Amino acid sequence: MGTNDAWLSGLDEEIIEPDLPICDPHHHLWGHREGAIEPRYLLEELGADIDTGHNIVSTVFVEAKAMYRAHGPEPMKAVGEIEFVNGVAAMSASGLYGKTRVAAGIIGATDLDVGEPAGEVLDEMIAAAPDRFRGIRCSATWDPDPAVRQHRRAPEHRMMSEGHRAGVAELGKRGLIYEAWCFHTQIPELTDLARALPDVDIVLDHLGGPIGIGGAYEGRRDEIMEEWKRALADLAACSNVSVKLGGIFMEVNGFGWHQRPGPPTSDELAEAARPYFEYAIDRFGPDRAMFESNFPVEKISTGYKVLWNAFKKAARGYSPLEKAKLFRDTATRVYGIGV
Amino acid sequence: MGNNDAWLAKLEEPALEPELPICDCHHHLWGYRDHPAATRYLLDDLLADINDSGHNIVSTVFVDSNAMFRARGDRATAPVGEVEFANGVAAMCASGLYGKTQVAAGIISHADMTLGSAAGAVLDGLARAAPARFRGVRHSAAWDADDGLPKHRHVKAPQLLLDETFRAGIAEVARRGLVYECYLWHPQLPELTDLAHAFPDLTIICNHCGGPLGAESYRGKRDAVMAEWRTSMAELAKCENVMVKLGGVNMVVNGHDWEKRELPPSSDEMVAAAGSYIEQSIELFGVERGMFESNYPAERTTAGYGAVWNFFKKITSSFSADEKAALYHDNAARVYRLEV
Repeated sequence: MGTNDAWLSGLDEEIIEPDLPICDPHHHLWGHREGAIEPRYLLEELGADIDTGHNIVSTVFVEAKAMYRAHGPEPMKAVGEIEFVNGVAAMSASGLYGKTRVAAGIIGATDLDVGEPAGEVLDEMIAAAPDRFRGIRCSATWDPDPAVRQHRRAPEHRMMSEGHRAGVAELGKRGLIYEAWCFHTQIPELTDLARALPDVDIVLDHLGGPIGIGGAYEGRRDEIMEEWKRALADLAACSNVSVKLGGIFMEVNGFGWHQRPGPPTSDELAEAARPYFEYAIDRFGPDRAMFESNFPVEKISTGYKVLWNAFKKAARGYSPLEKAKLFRDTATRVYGIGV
Repeated sequence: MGNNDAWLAKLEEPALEPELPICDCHHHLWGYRDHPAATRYLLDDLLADINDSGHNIVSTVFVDSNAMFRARGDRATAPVGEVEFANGVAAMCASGLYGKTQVAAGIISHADMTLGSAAGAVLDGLARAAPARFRGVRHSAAWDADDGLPKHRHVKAPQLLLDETFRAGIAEVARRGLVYECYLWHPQLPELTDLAHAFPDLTIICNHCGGPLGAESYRGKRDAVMAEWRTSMAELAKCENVMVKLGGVNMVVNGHDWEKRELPPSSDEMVAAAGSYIEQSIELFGVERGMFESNYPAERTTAGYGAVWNFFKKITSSFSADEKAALYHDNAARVYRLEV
């Protein structure tokens, strides 16, 4: 049950290309989250979204600070999230909950700033989900403008620090993925990191977070687009980096969908997002780009069904092979999952 | 939500000794099942039963439920899915979001012992799925010539426990320091005793007081059943490596017909009908080798969660504090190596 179910129910659409196999490489799960669009988002709630008609064959869970251990050593508390999600994945793999293999890949969280000791936590996470744990998502989002909603307040220039990079190197040693969530203003820092650690597989979340709210950004969409493009092009030149296409219908992106009387159509969403998608796909290529739902966070603006319709409309100009990559094959390769 | 909530709600009993810390060392969980008491029995369903009861359940042990077995891949390793699932439930509880009860602090799953020595690799896979909580396996042996009694899914033939290949599987359990659990019926108890003699270093946990039958062809033969059961349990109890789970004596196969009544059984009624099996089990095994168990939601078909624990507490009302601590919590925490 979402808190905006009534608003979302104001729009229904036919499914486009219902057979196209999709790996949704980015969603969250949690038990209790006060103030969230979905206060409880467990397998059954995710399943209700997934079962709206698109052919979702697999998913990747991305850290959500869920089910952290209440007790024990501080750095190991996040291992609880991995155990929890591995259990959800097992429920899904039983076949009792439909064809979708939920959480076939798992991305966790740990403080990489501590450098080498992060490796001990990574080893515990591998042990907690040996068949599914794939890496760490780092939230580096920082902006001087207090109006820009901060996902989690990260230290400024986190990705530039030596300690952080020593932690990222621990991922590389274990063949794990470094997944980065930052704003467009910070993409050059990620590019610097990607060049410094060319052997680490890196995934950029949410198109690199083009900001659309706050005094410095509001009403400057075109300028920001140019700034974002320059930064993204540099990053795309690093062959160890892939990009997630999505996560740009959040509040911070400034489209204000959630403030409208009714939810946006997939045509409207596709129209608004197409310039971002097309540029990112042009620079990264379909082998390094993948659509993502970012649910239930993205639910503030749109339902699961309409969201994937929007992606499919935005991807109309691509060949069947390119679409296969953008909607599934790139994700399953990057995350090393079988379905 | 259970399927017989309305019936169970007809009898409410306030918890006796509501402060006494309990480890419920035997319950199941599942996603979907054609079961009279619970089609779905997941964490929130179990917690609803626990919290409504008022008893102080501090931890639990999840036991072999044929739940969330992997749909794909080698059938022998399908139970890995159950262990991963139970470990995930345990992680949810360890977050503190779901109250004080640490559900599935210990995990007992299933491996097919008839694989013989090949069961070793399966056991390693199960251990790998929950390195901090996996404690052993149950391969039940319940079988009876009376076809009116339910056939257990893991039992293909009588005298399973005497089978050489089966015992080669048991040897793998023993080698890893894991526990072996068995649900069987009272006529089979000598087979378990034989197994216990063959593996003196293996911790064996006899489920449900050794399964005294009372239904079908055993109906109306209570005295004869109890005499045979007592003789066999006395022999089994001589094996120091065997522990007994105290409970599971109010199921349909025990023949009390609780499920056919208008009202569910009160704890007093359960004491009168089945209390002797609990008392004699404690007498034979001693307070250090017995541990109380709810056997939920299997037992939910016939009795309320709170009433089941009151049933036990009435039996132990004159026991010392140390004896109660051992039977309700400490023995389980010791044998399953639980922190809570």
